[in-house]
Amino acid sequence: MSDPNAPDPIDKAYVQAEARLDDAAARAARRARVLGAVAAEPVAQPTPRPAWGRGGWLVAAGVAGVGLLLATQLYLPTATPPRTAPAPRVAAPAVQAVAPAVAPPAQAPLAQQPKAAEPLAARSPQAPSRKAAEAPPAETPAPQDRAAIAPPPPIAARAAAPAPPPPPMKTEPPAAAPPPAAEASSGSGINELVVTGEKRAAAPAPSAFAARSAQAVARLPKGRVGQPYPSTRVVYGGSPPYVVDPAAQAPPGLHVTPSGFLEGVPTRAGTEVLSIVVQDSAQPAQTLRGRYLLVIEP
Amino acid sequence: MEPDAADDDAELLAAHGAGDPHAFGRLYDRYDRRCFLFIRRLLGAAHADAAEDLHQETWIAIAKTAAAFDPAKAGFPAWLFTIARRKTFDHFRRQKVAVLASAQEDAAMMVADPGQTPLEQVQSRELAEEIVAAVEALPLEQRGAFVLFAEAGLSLEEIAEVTGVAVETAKSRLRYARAKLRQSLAGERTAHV
Repeated sequence: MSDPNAPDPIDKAYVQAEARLDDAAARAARRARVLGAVAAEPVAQPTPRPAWGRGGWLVAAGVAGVGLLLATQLYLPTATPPRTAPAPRVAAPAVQAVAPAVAPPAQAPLAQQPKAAEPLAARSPQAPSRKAAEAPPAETPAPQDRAAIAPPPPIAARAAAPAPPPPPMKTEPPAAAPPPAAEASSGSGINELVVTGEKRAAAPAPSAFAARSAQAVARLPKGRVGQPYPSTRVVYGGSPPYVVDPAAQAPPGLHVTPSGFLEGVPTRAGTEVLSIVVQDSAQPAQTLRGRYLLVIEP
Repeated sequence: MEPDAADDDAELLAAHGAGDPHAFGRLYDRYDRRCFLFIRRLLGAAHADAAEDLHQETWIAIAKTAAAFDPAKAGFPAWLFTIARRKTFDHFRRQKVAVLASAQEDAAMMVADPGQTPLEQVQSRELAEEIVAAVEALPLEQRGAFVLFAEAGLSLEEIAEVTGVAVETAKSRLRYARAKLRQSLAGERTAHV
């Protein structure tokens, strides 16, 4: 049998036949049409090829997925399950300590906050979210704690309460989520209304996604050393005035006001997770918590 | 094919991507005829009208995806004819043309090879048309393998890459195509004589 790679007379005959039938005029017209169509198309720019192979793309896809998950947790406010034991904090040392928490015995409306606090109320235990069901067992509130929490306040109570101005809005790009920081608890026997700080008034509405971000950290507007930090609301819900947990310390130069705003003039640059724990004026007092990512630029 | 054509092709494609207005034209001139004939013969006489459009679509695809061409993976001819073949088969699918499965096709074309047929120079247009008609009468995959080898100048390895089959399969298709052509042309010439 002949070698297919060897020249064959039939191949040559076919090439000659095609040459004999070639139409130069038709080819020229075709060339003008094709190149004209190509010229009308945008030029495809070469993209730099990474040194990795296909496996690298899988790794990159995984990293992107993790980044998306972290970004989602940063921006979705969620409830933080109450804890029963004190834990170390990550926040920077405080420069301003507030009076210890006091739990007045009298009954009072729980929530006197404007609409911005509604997501928190929606996630209160009387309307348990999926997050509570999906949270680790160790962090899941005890059933009796849930039952002890009062329902949302009447509308009249809200209207009567002083409503602090909404926090300044500032759009910030998402950042890598810091490691979760444990929070101190004000002690046992206190009904806890879980609070998550919100970045802006138009914060994302509670969703099924929020249920998966039990350790969510909201992002605060950036500050700059030596310049007054824009007064930003960091405590929502409950009944102001708030009493800041002495263990919950703000960064140097900053403090949380009794009305729940972070203010002051930062004196040190850095990025940290700010855990805010306050007690409100309700009877019994509620412990409100918030976790924020705070960036102070030099 | 030119010994260093592969390097030149990649350079021309890169120059096109960098905005050289003449690079693509030079690349086109190098392969225009071979690419068009490949599409035209694959289509056969029944779909000859689509050859121009498919040819143009192929080159537009080349231009649009020039950045994706990786000379380390395949030579430019293999890439070009792969796209051209895909465009043609897409046309067949749109036209609902039944393409025989390769195994059936190859089995159907296992003909006795009459041996070397003395073919003189193809001087007459009539004879040229007979030869081309015989090529177009070949089963699709054999036709493609034969045109890619004889006219486009691809190696068996490149044909296998373009058509997505093993080299042995490409070799068999080429062998069957030649045998069938010799048989057909011998009969034609006998009839004419």
